[in-house]
Amino acid sequence: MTTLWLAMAGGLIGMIVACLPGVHVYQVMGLIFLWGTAALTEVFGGSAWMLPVVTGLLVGYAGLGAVPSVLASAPDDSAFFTVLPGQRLLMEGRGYEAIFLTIAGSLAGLVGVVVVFGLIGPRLLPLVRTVLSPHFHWLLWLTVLFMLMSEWPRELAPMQGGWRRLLTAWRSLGMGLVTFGLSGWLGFILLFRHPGGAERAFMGLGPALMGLFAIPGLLLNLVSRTRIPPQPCLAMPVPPVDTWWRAIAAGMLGGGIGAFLPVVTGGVGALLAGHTMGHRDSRGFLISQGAARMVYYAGGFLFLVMPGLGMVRGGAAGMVRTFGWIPGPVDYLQVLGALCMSGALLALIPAPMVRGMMTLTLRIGLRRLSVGGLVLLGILIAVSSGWPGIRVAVVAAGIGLIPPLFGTRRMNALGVLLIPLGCRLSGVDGRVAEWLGLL
Amino acid sequence: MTLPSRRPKHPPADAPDSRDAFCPSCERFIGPADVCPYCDCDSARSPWWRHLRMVALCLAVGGLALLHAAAQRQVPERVEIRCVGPAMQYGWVRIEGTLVERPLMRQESEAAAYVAFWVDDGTGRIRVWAEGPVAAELYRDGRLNRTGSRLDITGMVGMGRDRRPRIQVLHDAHLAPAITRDKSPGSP
Repeated sequence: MTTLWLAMAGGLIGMIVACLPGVHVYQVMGLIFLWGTAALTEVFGGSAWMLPVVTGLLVGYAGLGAVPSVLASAPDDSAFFTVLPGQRLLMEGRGYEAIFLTIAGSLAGLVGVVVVFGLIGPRLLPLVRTVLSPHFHWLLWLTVLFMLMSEWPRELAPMQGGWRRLLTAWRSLGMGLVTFGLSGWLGFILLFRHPGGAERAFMGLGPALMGLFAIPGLLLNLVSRTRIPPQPCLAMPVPPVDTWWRAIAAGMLGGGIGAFLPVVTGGVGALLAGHTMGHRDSRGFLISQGAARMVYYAGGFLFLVMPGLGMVRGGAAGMVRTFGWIPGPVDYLQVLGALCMSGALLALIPAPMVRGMMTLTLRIGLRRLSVGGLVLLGILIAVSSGWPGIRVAVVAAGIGLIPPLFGTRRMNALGVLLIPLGCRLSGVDGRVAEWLGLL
Repeated sequence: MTLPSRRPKHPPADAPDSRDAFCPSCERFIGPADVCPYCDCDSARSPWWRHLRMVALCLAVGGLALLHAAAQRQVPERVEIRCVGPAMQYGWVRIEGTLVERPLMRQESEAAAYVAFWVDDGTGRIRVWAEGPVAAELYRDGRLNRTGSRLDITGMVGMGRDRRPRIQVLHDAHLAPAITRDKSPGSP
């Protein structure tokens, strides 16, 4: 019974965190582990509190991740694809529709995680890992290659052929590659010589991720002239059944790849889901993004306790494993139960929370909301990583501003993880760091 | 050829300001382009928007260069082994301690080389390891041959399968004989 209550508490906190523009659940989780591990372990007589609380946090956060993306353009590293279609609907006065479609996709993804991964995962996935693990590194680099090559020139309006047209076409593409390279450089610095020192190094990537993905959107809100139109909460047209099936299947596939392959994050999983789904139907696209995000977060965490697998994927699994979790015989069932319980909460609670956030945004305006978000992020980064964390976040925000200002994909900023960790997976990280003068 | 879309003549009163997507001169859709490809109007964006681009680029490149320079000059924190904990994962630390037993070494090839050993500094004991060319170099030059020798080690903290912290040596120059006075337990 305690497990269920803890899962619900975690779910509620996760949903609140998800509604705060720019705040990442891993940062909050890190602070919980840093300050609360000793007390909670004493209260609950061991590490049994960790799994349900973390499961709840992840489900709540993944479920309502569309709220800051759609309302404030402040996604995390796995929700940036929801920004454009979500904001388009928001500007048409259909913000509720965008958010609830993503939440519905998340719920469908959660059902998929529990049913598909829960039932056949323990039999199938250990075998898949055994077969694939020697190939993870080149699979990762192929995924990166696809990610970079699948970007297209957006400024290619009709104009006379020649150098000017070529340069115009390559400007946004080139800036995408620049973003990828710069964020990879930042990733190497953070991985090998984090300016924040060793004391809280496990949270070292948090300021960079917030700077790359959340802060640029909030900063641009401050200088943009965008006014959110009224958002009537009317009956929404339900997408056709085949759209649902295609979207959920695409989201499961994309999120599953993101959760299973090392280093490939939810953002890349969302890209794969998006390409599987296509951009023809923005509503189906949003459903697939919600499903991919949930499968990435919840599925990735389930892999930690899956019998025969025990795989660490994602920051949450890493923190649980690091901070004294002692594996038990019922861990798998405990996490499945916590997924169901927090999923039930996700089905019940979001409507008033989303309505509250929407009302707040419309009442105080996007600029004030963004100022509040920036202040909150500043406090969180200062508390978790101190002054060095602020420095990292500022530089990361500079890199993160390039994609929206030059019309390229925000996803290119994922180079912060993909390049250094991909090099590590290929066994060349030391050589690259030495070449960069970081060793 | 499909004609480019034009700005709607009568947008709703509450419609977002779409000046950023349409040319202010000919009102054709130009996306994020600075110069309109149809009429060459260069005021498609407000000037400060371009300044913001320059600010972002300067902040990114200049800031990274400064972070890089600071990182290169950063001296790893010297810590006692008992202080190395889970929160230091991925942290860059320096310890000084005694090699307490013969290292475990494996070297089928340079790429597959592996070396691991325990170090004690009087406050605790920690496993230190290296792999690949670094391990092969440590194996070759015999720095780890003498049990009881005092070592100065710099490396990255990680968590082992036994859920205890351990330190990875990433460069062979990061493991050297300590030059301070031997204070290991049991030493004279």
